Amino acid sequence: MIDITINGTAITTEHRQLCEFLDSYFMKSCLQSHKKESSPNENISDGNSEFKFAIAINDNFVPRSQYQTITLKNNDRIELLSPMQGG
Amino acid sequence: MNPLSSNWQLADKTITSRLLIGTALYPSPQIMQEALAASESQIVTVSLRRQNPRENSGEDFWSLIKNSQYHLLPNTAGCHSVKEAITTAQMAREVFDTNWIKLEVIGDQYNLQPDPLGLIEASKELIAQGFEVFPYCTDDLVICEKLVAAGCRILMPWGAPIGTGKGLINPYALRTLRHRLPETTLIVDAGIGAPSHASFAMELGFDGVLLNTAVAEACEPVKMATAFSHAVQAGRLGFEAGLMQQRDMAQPSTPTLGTPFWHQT
Repeated sequence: MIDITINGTAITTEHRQLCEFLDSYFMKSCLQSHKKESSPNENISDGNSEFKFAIAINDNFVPRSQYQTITLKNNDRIELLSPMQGG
Repeated sequence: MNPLSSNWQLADKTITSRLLIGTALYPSPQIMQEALAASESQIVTVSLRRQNPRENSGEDFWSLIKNSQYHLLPNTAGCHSVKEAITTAQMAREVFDTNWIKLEVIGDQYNLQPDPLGLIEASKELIAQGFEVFPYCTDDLVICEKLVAAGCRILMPWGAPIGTGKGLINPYALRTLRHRLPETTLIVDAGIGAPSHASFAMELGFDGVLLNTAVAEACEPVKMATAFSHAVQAGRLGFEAGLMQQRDMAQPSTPTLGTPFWHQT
């Protein structure tokens, strides 16, 4: 188990691979919300809705192409950002 | 689109409207959509924020915007450092699939004044990474010249601090920018509160106007969006037509020859 933060919230996870962690993170939301299926190389989608996002770890952008190869470490800080209204 | 409007080039896009508009602060998504349509804008600004996938707000917004005809201009709003701005820009490029970035590096939390040194540093790095940088900057001539030297083809000086609605608080500085940077695309960003402010900016020869709050927080945003659309077109046409020279002395517009009841004074 490792301790990380995602969007400022501390959590403990057993998933060290970024893509596995994301699977877990979105599956959790799946159970409580839109029944989205996780797919680490795509934006999370169930065909009708789409959760578009990008990730930075420890203030460094992580391209989607690297999700399969990144291993999380203790105390990593993940920023997961999504589209929002802006001026 | 008004047939009096002509195409112009904004970075790699050929567009007609010179009004760029934000997507924030509207009373509802429906009113936002109606206001964007009424504005006739082709460029809309968007942002990235932390969102929990269990909540729907961002997803709902994205579903409204993703299939629209608008060109998206993501911003780095809220970033206070060069590092934050660069990382946010990289994330925005992936999410929105565009190399355009409205670069904001805030230097002062009180008036949200851009950090000029941070802007220059971030612009250099982002341009090296292939971004088309739209820096939100002050109207300082030397800073603007340095941003151009850094590779910025577009500058977005403020009219006034974000959200104040005060209009163009330093017309002299903006006029100087237009005069000194004739080849640079100049867009007044922030501080616009009334359609007349937008017209004024366009009459000064600015290439466009970017605003959000003035429309979103109007009593009737859709009607205000229409007003700004007309104002920007009017100001641009006025600039293209060429304004008359101001005079200190009155000069009658009606011919004096044959003036009735004329008498020598």
